Amino acid sequence: MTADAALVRRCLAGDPAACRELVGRFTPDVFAVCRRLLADAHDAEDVTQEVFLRVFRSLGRWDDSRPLRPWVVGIAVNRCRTWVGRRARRPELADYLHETPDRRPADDSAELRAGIRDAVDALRAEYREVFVLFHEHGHGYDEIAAAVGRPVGTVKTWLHRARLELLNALRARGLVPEESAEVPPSGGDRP
Amino acid sequence: MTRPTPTDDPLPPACRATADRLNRVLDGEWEAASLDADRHPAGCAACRERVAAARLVLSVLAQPEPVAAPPGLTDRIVSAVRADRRAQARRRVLAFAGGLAAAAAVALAAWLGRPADAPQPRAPDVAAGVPPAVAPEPRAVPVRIGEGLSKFGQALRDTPIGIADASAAPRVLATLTDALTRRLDPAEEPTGTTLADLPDAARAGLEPVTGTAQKAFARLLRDVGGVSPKPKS
Repeated sequence: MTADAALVRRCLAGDPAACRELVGRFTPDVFAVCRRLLADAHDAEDVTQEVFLRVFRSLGRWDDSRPLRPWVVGIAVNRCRTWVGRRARRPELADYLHETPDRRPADDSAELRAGIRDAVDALRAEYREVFVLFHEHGHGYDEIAAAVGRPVGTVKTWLHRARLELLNALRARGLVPEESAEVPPSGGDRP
Repeated sequence: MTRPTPTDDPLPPACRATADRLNRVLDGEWEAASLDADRHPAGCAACRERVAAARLVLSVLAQPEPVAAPPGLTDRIVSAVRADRRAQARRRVLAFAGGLAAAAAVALAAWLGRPADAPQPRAPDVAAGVPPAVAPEPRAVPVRIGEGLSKFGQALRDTPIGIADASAAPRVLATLTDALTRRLDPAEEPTGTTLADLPDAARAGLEPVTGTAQKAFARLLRDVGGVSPKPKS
């Protein structure tokens, strides 16, 4: 029996220490994914809690021949999708509520980081999910495929397209250093 | 590596090899230095910018921003999970008790509404030429509600279903059966022993179901006859 399976069995038996261990083991991962996909710390906290309620409600249905982490992360990704959909249907806040303290980056690297984050946020949802899971959370293709419920080939295609769109968006935003963009002699896809 | 089909590839064919190389580097399969070996970007501004953007992305992703969970979040989640488990357990017990009460009500109704123990009339023996006997008038059997409830309560106690395992089930069962088997105070004990002793309204509800349609029709005719066709002024 794997360590995951033993932990889940103890949780199902009602062991409070096991319950705490499971929550403690996955909370940083789940919160980080939610924080990144929702771009809001309070929403991320709420959704992280929802994720664990769902994890414990459906723990008995977890297939113990598979690793637990992608299963938990998959629930987190699904809850984030639902939350984003729900948030999109909520009425817009009044303009003055959008006014936040100046969050302009202090230096070039911070500006670059913010630019990349904005470009990732502008990707379509499934591209953003696989990009964030792969590049920001270090999940492998197999884990991401298990988390988003798609074949590995689909995940690779999404990720490759996500990267291409991201690189093009960075070019369009002028974030690529000037000195590297020389005048092309010919060819390329630039109009 | 998954290659897009020519129809949905957003890149010109000349740029595809560079894009594949970028993806291998971003996948971690190849070193970033391998980008220098590609000659295509030297003659393609778009790919040159893509390679430059990829280097930027790699440099930023190499130093990920740490995202720490807020302090106390784990404790809050553990409390919420425990509260949710308790709420779910309560819901399960209530659903069980509701089902048990419904089953008990159905069983009680069936017990009280069952036909009297009179023998069933036999089919006429046509082959033997015996004329069909006239079925005897069903004898009014005194209904003893106290006895019936007592038997039902005992049957409920003896039920083989493992209801005693559920935490709240014994209490529910005890409440139900005590109410059914409680001895009446002599002052509350009904004086009559047959249905005929009961008032009309009570007897109508306790009589066997047989002949109900006829009785209902007779009562309808009686009520219709009692209605005055003239509207009241």
